[in-house]
Amino acid sequence: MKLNQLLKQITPLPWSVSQPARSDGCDAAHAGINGSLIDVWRFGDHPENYRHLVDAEAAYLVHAANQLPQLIEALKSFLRAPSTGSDGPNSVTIVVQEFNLANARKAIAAAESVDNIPHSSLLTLTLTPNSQLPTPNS
Amino acid sequence: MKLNQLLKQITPLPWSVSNDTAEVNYVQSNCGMVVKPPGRPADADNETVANSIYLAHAANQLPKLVEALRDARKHIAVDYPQGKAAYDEAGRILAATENIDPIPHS
Repeated sequence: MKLNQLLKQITPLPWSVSQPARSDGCDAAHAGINGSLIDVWRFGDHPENYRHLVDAEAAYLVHAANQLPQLIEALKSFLRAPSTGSDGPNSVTIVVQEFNLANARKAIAAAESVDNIPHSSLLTLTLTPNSQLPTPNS
Repeated sequence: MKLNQLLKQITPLPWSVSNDTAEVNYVQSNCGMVVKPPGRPADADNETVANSIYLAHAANQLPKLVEALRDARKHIAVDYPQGKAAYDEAGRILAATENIDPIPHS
């Protein structure tokens, strides 16, 4: 899926963390994003220990969501502007972009292509870490 | 708060979006994070699905874009008007991205 398509489907930006993390007596701490349109949850014993993590993750999610389009546009503006340096080893070209801005092109391409997921039988969406979680008090 | 500080506090990236209910149980038992509409998870609408996909994508891409923008900024020719404008704009956006408003605790 293209990012531009996705941006048309989401709640218009900017988003905000509307509700700091709290625990309501269950085994979870959660924070609300954008009027609780989405809740960020973290499950486990002693959810009060996780509130700071939920706050940090909600803050990061909202911040990333709001900044992503601007960052992509800023990178694109570099591709339209003259850059310094050379076009790789042994090149004496002064105004070239391909070598120095290769990272920019790669980052733009990755940011503008979004992994899709099937919508069928959707129950809950999870943001799943594939590496070790931080400890509650880290 | 600085972005680098925040990145050290959160669950390490990358994150992924899943609609596997078995995954939810796994995540719950391991203190993972679930993004869902409040109240009625079985009725997630298209907008909520899109929001969740976008959130995960933005979270994963943000550090890479910041790094690419920092790198690109080193190579821009600021003696060209177009280059100077891009340089200045990138500096403004980087500053905004690297500084995050703290959430007031309840």
